[in-house]
Amino acid sequence: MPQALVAIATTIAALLSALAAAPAVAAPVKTDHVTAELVAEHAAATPGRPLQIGLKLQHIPHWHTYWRNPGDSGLPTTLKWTLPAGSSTTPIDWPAPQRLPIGPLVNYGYEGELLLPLSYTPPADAKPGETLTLKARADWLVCSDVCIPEHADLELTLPVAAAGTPATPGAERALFERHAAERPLPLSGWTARLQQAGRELLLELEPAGDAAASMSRPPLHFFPHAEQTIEPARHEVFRTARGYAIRLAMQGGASLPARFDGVLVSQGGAYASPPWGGTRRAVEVVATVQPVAAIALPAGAVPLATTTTPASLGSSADLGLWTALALAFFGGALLNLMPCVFPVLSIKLLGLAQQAGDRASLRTHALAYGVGVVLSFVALAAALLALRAAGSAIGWGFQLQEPGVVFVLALVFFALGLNLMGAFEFGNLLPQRLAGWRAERPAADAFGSGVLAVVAASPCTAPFMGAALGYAVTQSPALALGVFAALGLGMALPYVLLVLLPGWRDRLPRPGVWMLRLKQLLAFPMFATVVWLVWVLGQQAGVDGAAKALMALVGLAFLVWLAGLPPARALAGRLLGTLALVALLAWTWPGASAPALAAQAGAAPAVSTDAAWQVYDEAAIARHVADGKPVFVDFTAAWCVSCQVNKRLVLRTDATMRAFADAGVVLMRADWTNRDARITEALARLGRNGVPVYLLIRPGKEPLLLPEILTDRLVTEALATL
Amino acid sequence: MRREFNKRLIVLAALAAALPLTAAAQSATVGQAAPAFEVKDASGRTVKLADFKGQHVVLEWTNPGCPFVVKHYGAQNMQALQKDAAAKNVVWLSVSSTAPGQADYLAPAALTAKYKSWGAAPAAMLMDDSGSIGKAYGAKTTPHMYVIDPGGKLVYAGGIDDKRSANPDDIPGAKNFVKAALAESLAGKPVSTTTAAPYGCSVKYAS
Repeated sequence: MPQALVAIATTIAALLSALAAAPAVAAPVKTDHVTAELVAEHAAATPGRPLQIGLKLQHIPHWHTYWRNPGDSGLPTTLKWTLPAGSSTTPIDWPAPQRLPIGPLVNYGYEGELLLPLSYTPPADAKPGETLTLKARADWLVCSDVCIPEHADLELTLPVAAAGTPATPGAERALFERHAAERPLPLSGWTARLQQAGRELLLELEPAGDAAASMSRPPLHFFPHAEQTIEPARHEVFRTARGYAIRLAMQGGASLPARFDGVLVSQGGAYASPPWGGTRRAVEVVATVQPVAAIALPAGAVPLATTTTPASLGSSADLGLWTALALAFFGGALLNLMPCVFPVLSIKLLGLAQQAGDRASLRTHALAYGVGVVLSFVALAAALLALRAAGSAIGWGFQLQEPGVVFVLALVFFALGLNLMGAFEFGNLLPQRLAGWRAERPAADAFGSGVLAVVAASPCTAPFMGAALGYAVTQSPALALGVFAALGLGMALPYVLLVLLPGWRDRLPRPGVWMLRLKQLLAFPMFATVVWLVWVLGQQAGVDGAAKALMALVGLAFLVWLAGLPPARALAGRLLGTLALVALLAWTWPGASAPALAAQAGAAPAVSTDAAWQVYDEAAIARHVADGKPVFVDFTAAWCVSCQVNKRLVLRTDATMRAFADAGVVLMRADWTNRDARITEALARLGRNGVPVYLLIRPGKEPLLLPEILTDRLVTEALATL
Repeated sequence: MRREFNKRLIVLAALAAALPLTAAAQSATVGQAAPAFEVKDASGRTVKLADFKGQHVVLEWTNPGCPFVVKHYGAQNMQALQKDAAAKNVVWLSVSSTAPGQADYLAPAALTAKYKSWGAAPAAMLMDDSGSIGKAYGAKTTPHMYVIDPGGKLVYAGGIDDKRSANPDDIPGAKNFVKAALAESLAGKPVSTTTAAPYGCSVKYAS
């Protein structure tokens, strides 16, 4: 009987899906270096009405394809169409390229994810319900330091909808929208003049009116439409009083048309708005050619640096795999000293000292602990990567952006503190069988402590970890997990070594009351951690959320005391206790507060509570930089211990604030306590994935990254470079 | 740990800025004297452009790892041109400007063996490891072709033909500029197409 039901259900489902309009379908073709696919902006075509379609190319890292003018070498991507009768396509509407230097030569092309869009007009006599099949042969040259010509035979099927039906968006709608926002449009309100003296050229760009006085001047790159006309490698950008001047040179044997056109792309990353205002970084220019006797740079022309990668003070921004592994390892070792982990480890060591055990059992214990730590880090990393792959803009520490996780951590640390105080023993709480099982399997017990240690370590970020983790998330999943495993190894190693060190237990005084007192003493750092976690929860869920958490802690203490009473050992008592705990958690579970939800939704930043520090706002940064004011951005989070330490010891001190004020630096805080996609993206652009990150944006120079452990001297050094 | 990215970028930028300037200063111009050179070939012999005064010379920039070079050699197109040239007393010089250390670099013996296995027949394979000849001529791609007349004047500089692709099927239907330039120059006529867009992989100069 059930089988028949299943069969009927499946048939109905199949019918329903067939009746529903089939979406525009195209199968991606994967070559060794590129995944190619024909995509459409909308899910269906209407007769006679143009529709945006395009070739989507996903390059593997470090490989590129070419623009309509490929530069010194290379070939532009081409599409040869086989279309249904009566339909037509326009040529590719090329997005703005980037300069790709190779030795002394320069090419113009694209890396990463690329959409080459064009307009397709379906036949006017297409009937609704039909399907149009577009075929294209795409040829491209994909290069890194070697070149491989590749091609794909691609197909796009479009169902035809009746004229007048509202357009349903296709799967790649976001790509088309981004292209529409970024495609080069003609530059208006500026004059463009090309001086020519023999083979030397000078492209002069000036805005009309007196806009020049207040506009920002990020570096520009110029890409001519005509091939083989100018030398791509000769490209010097100058800032002039009235605008820009770009020095170019003609290729031997080339001749200039009367009107010389190309694309101008504003560089400078998110922190520099284009000189023509707005957010569009690429414009089309047409310059009138003016033969002159000799090229004359306008007076006061200043060469502009065209590098925009942030420089680093004291650390390398460009890591290789081995460097990242080494950094992760040392960072992991340093984690043991962080206030999150140190108390837990001390307790473990003390507990170990109390137990009897020969070398073999110690070895098992140490190994199981190490495995527990490494596997927990890898599991956490896998969760991070999986969530990122699913589209979440999260970074390391992501688990703490969730109020629920902070709440549970607070409960866990409180329970640990109570245990250290002597309020209860784990053995009394657990059912008889489970307690016995734990005693019989010390390896599993040690594994569990490894997991607990990682749970306790998660709020802390040690030095070196930031750069290593920033590298890790940009690599393939296998390499990323490797970096996290190195982190786990580094963290486990000191404890493992200490445990395996012969005779350390003999050096300790004989067990006695002092051990009990020490245990009780270590409860207080635990309670301090609880206070801090409740403070973080207060930032995330508001004062009410913090109060509920405190109530939960009281409830937990009460339940733990009840569990110690004789009647509780009966089964009924246990069940009741568990139910009570579940009810307590459900009632006190924190939700996000309104400002936190707004930040997650990407709404406009709220007003900052600390008067000296503005809320992170990229448009404001661009305005300040245009005014010539440096900006110091503190990427921080309430749950990040290193951030708080840096704040207390360095950033909030009078001396530092005075130094900032003297240098005229605008202070900005990017608060990552809750999930914020904008800040995650800003961190990713800097090659980082976690906090703290300290960035000094200097007008006219590339931004400067400071190390994760701040000192007054580092801040002074950074300000001296302004 | 690697050096600061910033410093490396500045050095690179300075080098990159300096090199094209030198290249532009010496860049070969059609209609003028071809830049002189003196270099060792793959068998260790010293070869000078002046050695060939009185003969037509063809310079062919090449790199066996480039799909565009393989296109012409695989279809026996380049070899046919070389044999044709030799029959007409034209000196065909293949030039490798790939810097040692690049992925495509082959030592002289290996390079000779490779081209021999393809049946290539140039008069010499010039080892321009430093890239100075390539930069003097402004060679950008492999292949990049130059034709020099008996008086030492550059009469053609540019791509090998007008079908810019890596597909050997495009060779028969393409107009071969080197063939045309040689035919016209040997007949004493001025070359009609003196330049055409070169296509291929970029020459692997030292980075």
